[in-house]
Amino acid sequence: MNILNIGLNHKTCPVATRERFAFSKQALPEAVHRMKQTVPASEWFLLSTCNRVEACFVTDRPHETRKGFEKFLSEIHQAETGQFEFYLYQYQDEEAVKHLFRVSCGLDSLVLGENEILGQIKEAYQLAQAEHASGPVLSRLLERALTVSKQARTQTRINEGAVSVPSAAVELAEKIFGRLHGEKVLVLGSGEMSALLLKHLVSSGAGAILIAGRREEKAKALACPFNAEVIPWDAWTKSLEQVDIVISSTSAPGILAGYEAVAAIMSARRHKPLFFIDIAVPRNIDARVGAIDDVYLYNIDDLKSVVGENLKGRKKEIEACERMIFHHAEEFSKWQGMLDSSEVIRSFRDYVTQCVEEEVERHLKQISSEERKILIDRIRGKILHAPLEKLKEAAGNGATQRYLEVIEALFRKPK
Amino acid sequence: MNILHLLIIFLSTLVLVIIGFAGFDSLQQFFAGRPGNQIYFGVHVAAAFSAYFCFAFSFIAGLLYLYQDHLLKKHKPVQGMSLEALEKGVFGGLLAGLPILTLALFSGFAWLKTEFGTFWLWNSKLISSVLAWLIYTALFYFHFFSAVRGRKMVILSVLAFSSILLIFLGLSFFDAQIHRVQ
Repeated sequence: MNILNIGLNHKTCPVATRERFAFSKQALPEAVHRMKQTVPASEWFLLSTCNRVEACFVTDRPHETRKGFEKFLSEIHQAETGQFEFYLYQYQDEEAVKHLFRVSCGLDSLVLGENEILGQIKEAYQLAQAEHASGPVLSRLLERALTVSKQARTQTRINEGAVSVPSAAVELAEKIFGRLHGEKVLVLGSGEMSALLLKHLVSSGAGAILIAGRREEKAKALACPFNAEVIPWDAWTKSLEQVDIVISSTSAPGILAGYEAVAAIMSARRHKPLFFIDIAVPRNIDARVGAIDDVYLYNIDDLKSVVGENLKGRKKEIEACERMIFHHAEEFSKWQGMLDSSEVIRSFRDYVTQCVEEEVERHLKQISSEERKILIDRIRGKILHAPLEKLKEAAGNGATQRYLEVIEALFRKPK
Repeated sequence: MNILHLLIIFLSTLVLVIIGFAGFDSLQQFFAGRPGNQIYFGVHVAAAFSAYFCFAFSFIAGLLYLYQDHLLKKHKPVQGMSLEALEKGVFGGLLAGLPILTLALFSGFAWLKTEFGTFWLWNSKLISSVLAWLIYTALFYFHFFSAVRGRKMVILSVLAFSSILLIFLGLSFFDAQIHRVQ
């Protein structure tokens, strides 16, 4: 019995191919159903996100399973196998287990340590259960993958720190104001980046929004989806007294807010903190403003460097996650060894029972059936005790397979 | 862990140890059965200990606030609590500590009167407590009535606690010297 993992992801294939082979949420149940019919295996699991399409199988014939999966992709997406087979990666047994654990921890994601993958694996697992595609092995494997993933996220810092400019801005705002709850935001200019930042801030709890733009039409267009108030361009300095966060992204060639002006405003604000996010190039806020007490100024480079530092922090955690993955993969492999052995043990036990029964039947006809049963149990127990103990021991050090092969070869019931 | 982390841990531990010793000293005197009104003395010891515990809490929150502020200003990775939460800790400690300290002072004066027949003694704990009360009342007024907040106010509260601590330690040393001479 082998575990096989086949797929394509952002590392192996370009986005044009990935989007062609991705499955929409609605199409997934039908895809799993067809995969069961097309791919020769005993258990099936299909994961499709914007950065990966991969499947996991339990199979005795890995080569045929691979061919079946290629055929399935080819048929369902109407593509020649030759167009995509070189993009497919394949992992088998322990490597497949480790790969799935890495995926669940976000180590294989485009954004290292991202959390979304955890939910995506959960959903794919639920679908596999609903379609009766997953059996005891994949269920155990996927549950273990979810456990590793949660453990990595709680015991390491693999998912800590914002890794995009807008989320870094929100994270910094939260470090100043705590969890956002109605903080006022002033937006200068109406660029795309402002809209993106605003969206993140609003969804995190920021409150009233004021927008000031030289071109009123553009300011109104930005204000509309956020239900924001548009204020005249020459009134924005006055509003600095009330707002908490200022996003500046105008195309003005010079400085809009100078040191003296902001220092005066801070006195009027009685030093209530003020957070400037200056994403304009050239910059709109005098760099010296950042030196004023209770004013926090971040330009686009500062935000990018925060993102870079956070990513570096996440990379440092890879090793700790790999250790967890190794440990859990080892545990899984032990469990799998036990599962493989249970079938062989059952037939070994049946064989011994039959041999003993035949001999007892032939030579001890005068004893009662009760006594016969006890006798058979005792003889069978004595014969099986030592080899089964040895097998248990072997399961602990990963040598089960060797013993199972010997037992099968020596005690296979003659046909 | 960098030098600033270590400094904050060291200072916090030092402050808690000093307060612990001062409280222990007062408790010893209480259980030794000092003359005078035992109720006044008991209330005084409990209130003074609680008030300084609140101020120590405020002081530690203040150190953490200044550290977070430094990280944000220098654009370094920030972890832990927000400035807002730490500022609440600083002024929350002050808000809780000040009325308790007032109670400690008045019960202390009342006890002094019953034991020594006077409301005032030139003693390290008494001087530093009255000084603390004056400084914290000023801070309380500026923050809660004039709504001044931010880094400078936090620096003032940290300096206030540090100076009270130093005065207390200095005067305790002075008291000990006088006792040795006597």
